[in-house]
Amino acid sequence: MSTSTAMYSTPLLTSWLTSLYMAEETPQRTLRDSDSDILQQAQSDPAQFAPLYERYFSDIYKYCLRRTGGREDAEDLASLIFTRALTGARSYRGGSVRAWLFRIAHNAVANYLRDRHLTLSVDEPDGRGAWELADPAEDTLGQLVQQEERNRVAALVMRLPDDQRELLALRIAGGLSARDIGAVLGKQESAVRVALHRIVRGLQAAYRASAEEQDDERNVTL
Amino acid sequence: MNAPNREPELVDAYITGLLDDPAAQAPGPLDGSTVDMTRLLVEAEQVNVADTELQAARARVWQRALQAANETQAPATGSADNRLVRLPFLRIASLKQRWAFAAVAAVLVFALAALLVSTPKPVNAAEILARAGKVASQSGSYGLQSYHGVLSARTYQSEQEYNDTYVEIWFQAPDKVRMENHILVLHNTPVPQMQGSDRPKTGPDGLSMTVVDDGANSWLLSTTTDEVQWYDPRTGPGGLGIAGAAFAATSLQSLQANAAQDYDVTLEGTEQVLGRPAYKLLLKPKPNTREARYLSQATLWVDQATYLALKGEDRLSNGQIGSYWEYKSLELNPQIDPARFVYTPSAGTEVSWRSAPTEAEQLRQWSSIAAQVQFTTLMPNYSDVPQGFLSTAPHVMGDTWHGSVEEVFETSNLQQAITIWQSKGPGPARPKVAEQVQVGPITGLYVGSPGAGGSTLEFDLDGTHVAINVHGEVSKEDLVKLASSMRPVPQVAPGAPAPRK
Repeated sequence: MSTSTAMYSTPLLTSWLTSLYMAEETPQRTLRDSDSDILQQAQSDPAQFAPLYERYFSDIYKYCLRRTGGREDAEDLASLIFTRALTGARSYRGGSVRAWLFRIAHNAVANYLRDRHLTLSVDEPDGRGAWELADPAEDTLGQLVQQEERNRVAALVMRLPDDQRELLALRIAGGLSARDIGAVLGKQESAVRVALHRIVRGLQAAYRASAEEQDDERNVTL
Repeated sequence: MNAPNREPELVDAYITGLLDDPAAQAPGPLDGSTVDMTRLLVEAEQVNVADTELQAARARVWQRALQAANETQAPATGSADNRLVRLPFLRIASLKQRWAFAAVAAVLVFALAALLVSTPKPVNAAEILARAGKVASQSGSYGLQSYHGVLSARTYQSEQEYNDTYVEIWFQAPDKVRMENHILVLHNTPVPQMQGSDRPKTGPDGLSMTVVDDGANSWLLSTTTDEVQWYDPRTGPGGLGIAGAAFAATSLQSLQANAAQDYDVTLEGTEQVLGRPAYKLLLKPKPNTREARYLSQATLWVDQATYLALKGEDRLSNGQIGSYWEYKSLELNPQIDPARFVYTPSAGTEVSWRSAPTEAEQLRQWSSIAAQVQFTTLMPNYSDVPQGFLSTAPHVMGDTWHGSVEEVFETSNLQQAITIWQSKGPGPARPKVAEQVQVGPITGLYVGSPGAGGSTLEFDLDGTHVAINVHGEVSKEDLVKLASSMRPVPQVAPGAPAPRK
């Protein structure tokens, strides 16, 4: 058997097959302007990532803001997330680019929270920054009541386990669908919906309990 | 009260509605209390940022990310040779590897055509190849959700010596693959007729090998040796052939530049293959390229309707055929039993784990990194990395990240990760909540977060501060073992072969 040709025969086939992909070089945005197409182009030129950045920055930033509680930390995290996205575009395996980005974000946030857990204190809850102060325009009595209700719910959310807060941040601050969250967290879409529903149910119960506590305190005071 | 299985869906739909429009109406069947709480929750959890602030942050973050990415990517780009070194599957050392590789190549071709039924026809060879490449890499979907087919292939070992194979393939979008490879003829001799020491061990299915890829794990099952190997889908046999962008992330991406420079592609016309009209493409290596040393040309027939490659052949530089393959049957979008894509090692099965890149490649990367930073870089012993975690390649983070070095290990489903972050020491003062642990001869600080699915271990060694963050379930012992394995990167002369185990 000729070793040399034996060595060549299979890589030869593969080189040829893999060369198929190369025609990607011709940049014709009209045919490939989907998220995944843009991401592939960004593999060789990070600047090509710009349309995806424009599309997803806001959601990623808000998600970071929700999870960190501060603008500086949120910007640091968002920078890290998009750096990883820019340099790690090759790790994209198809599917929703939004979910892929948020998976990076989810891991970055987890590291951040762990680091902060290390540097601050074990039980310190997530902070909420000045960006969450009540809107000064909300000055009617009804609006103030609504704001108080929101604050109470926000306080209850702060007591939730971290995985539930993460789920809420992804769904509401990040604006991810249940399906995309499933892709980020490795769960079924239906399981995500059920988890969200459980959170709502749990908050309902906690809200009622806290209202009753308040009533009791008032009665005692009176 | 709603049926329990319906309410989660309604709540989720209401959240979606509220995110689009704060005044959205709740779905009728939801009770008032649930509606109120859902609305309050969305209002409480939504993040409102002024447009001006958002724009300013958007500009700052982009500038930082782009700068950091540029700083990071520059040193990460290796030579073509280095990139090839990352592809252990290209080193066709053993017969078994050749079979696997040939089968994988065949699957790749099958996948090439997989999708795209109703899109406008491209008119030039480059665009046809681009679409076929998209189908192959699963990075673009053209409507083909599943297929099942059988192809036959002949691969020449030499001018007069060949192997015949047939491969049965099942594919389900986006990334599930099963392919059963049967070697019918080996070195010109039908396998059943082989005698003596030449006769390979065969199983009930003859001389065969099966790849099962469920999208998260890729298994290579040899029915002749009872051997089971697990691969990272991004680099394993299934992922190599079909697992979408996972493939692009490894071989295609690495070979892309090389191949783009090395081939001229032309559209030769159309022909019928399997009774279907197909584009006939001719690929010729350019003179003075690596491919030109052994390849004179390759031909590919690409289905006009689906962009699936239906047939192919290549010829060596001496004009002799190198390999030939063709689909003999093909079903598009059939219903496939999900069990086809599932493999679970039975109790007692010995599984060998194959990870990439190789140790030699890791050493080269680390040597390159060590030359770029101003502190002692520490390289882990990769055999001490917890099982299931694969490196995504260490890299320098650049000035934006204080010249730190990062290496991320991920599980193949990306759900767990270990990040090793190195920077010039000493590290910041750490709090009392951390537990002191022994990392080799020095003391490290460990913090576990039970319930949060993570932990951290930090230590200073040889003037370098190391922080290992775990997102997932890794025991303290395994983490300490990994940390203890970290040693200064040994000096490797440029171009010198790295030591192997």
